[in-house]
Amino acid sequence: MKKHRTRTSGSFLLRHLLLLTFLVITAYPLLWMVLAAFRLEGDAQMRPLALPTPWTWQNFAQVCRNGSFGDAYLNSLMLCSGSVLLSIALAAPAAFAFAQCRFRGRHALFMLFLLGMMIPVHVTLIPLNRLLGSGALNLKGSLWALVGPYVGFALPITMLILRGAFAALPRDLLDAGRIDGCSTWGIFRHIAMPIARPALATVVIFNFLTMWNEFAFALTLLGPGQTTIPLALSQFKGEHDVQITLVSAALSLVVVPLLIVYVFAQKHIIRGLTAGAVKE
Amino acid sequence: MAQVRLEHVGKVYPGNVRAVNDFNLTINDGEFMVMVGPSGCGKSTTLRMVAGLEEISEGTVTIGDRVVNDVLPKDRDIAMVFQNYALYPDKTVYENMAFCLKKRNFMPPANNDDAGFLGSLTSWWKNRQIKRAEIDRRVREAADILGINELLNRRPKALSGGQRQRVAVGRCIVRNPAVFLFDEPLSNLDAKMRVQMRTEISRLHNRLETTMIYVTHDQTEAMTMGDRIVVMKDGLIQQVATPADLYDSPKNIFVAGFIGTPPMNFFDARIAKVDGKLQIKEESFALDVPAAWQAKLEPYIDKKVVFGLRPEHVGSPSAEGIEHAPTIPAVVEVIEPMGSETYLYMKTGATGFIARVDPHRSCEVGDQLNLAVIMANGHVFDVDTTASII
Repeated sequence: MKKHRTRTSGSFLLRHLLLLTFLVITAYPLLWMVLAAFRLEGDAQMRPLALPTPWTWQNFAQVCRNGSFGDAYLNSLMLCSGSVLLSIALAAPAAFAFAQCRFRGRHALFMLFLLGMMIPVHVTLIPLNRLLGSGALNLKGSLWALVGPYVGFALPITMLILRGAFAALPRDLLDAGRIDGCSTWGIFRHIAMPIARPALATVVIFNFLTMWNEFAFALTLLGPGQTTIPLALSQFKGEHDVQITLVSAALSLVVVPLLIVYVFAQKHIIRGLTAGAVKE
Repeated sequence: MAQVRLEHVGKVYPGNVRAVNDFNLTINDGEFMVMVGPSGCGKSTTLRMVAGLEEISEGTVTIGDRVVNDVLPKDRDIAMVFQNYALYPDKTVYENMAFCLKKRNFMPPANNDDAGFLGSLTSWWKNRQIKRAEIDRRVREAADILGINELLNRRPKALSGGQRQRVAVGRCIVRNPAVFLFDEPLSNLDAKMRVQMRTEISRLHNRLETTMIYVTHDQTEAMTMGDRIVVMKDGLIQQVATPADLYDSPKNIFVAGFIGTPPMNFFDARIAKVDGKLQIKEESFALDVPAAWQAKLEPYIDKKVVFGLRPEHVGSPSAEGIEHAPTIPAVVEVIEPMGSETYLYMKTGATGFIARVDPHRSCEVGDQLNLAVIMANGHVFDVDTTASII
């Protein structure tokens, strides 16, 4: 018994030591970034591992005074929120149809959607430039130019996750909806969507994060007057040096919306990612 | 309330798989009809065709005066309780019960005396308020009937199995449908709760007097709840009868073996004529045939038959009390004392059978007994057709 307890406490210690190590590896860069945001530039270079002396808000003030960063923040918020909503609005009904409706070519069509995940973003830059350029859609240079690519690239993963969630809905539940007076749309709207909340939370976070960090499309499709967060961050980097404290302050501000979205939706994320994986 | 009529109904799945074949049944207004049979016999498919959840391949289904083959489930005036409750997990009990009423116009619109946009708006608002009040009244009334008032604000995950099933029934009651459909509603409950819910559903039927169709694979549920029972096998109706008739006069070997716990004993026997009298002869016993059976068994002389005997008709106090009762010699293999009765698992020759005997009868495993038989309650079946002869 005693031996067993020793072994148990030994494995407990080892397990927690490992977890602690992972925690430090994961959290330290984030902590370092936040601390650097409160340092003076010289302090960051002289004593990068110590606590800031003195603590200062001046980096945040400087970032906020930079007009283009504020604009970029607002642009990214609008663009990402809009694109996330649009991608869900388009993908959810399609995912429900793929999961619950029987029609010819269903599987082939779904596979076609999934092919989108295999296309590298950079391959599409030149065609999109031409498609959105002055000769064609004439959207290049405005924020609207990014909506299409963002939504388009978000659709496959959104469909994949939501289809899994919708396919896992018990048949009796859908039948109950039909008897209760719902049409197929009604079942989707009143029964499937509320139950698929975990999956929806997952795609919201995943897509928001991807769009929030997106750089290639923003760099090539936006005009000189327009900017998003990743582009604005690059302004703090000079040709020969990087203002670490300013970049850290900007990055600290950038992660705030992501943290807010994550805090509100985190309890659903794991359930969403594994939706349909096992029979409950 | 309504009569439900199924005429030559069939269900064929892709690949020519026949789930239900030429199903003919009339369920009377206010009747509690139970469909029973083993898994895969087509009972749930038949129920789902009545509900409109499965397309009807052949025949017609009529509810009331209306053929409903092409009518949507929501317009059939039915309500259904599912095996796994099918409660909406994101909605409270109240919302679950009110949902079907919200989705339909179940009340005539109030008079719209005021003309114009404002008048329409007022009338719409009035209708909305009246509908809301009516929904509330119906939900609370159903909750009263089922004793789930205190659960109305809970979500399904906070309910026990029995409570969930009550909510599922409540969801049906609020609609005041013409027909209630139950698809194995008690299968997911533990034994005690099953007995309780069985009584509650029977009580509910007595109170509402609505037509109810109840599907189960549990013959005890069928026997205790149904006004009439449909026994099904391989997509075919085997017999439709009251529980008592089904038990006393099964039409074939399948029904005889399916209904009753423990099941009926079957002996491979043949009919023999000895000294001008007919006998049922088995390897290890010969039983004189009652006079009333003689005429029916004459054609089977020297032919094989199956002799059926329920456990309570062999070795029971009532059988042992009969003077000069014929007996079956057998060896006790297992004794199952149930308290109010004792089941003896016996062996006569190579055939095993069960006898329900007096709980105070003293015997031990390995004892050789001669168990009295009540011949008048025996059954004889044709070997080829499996149909009942007696």
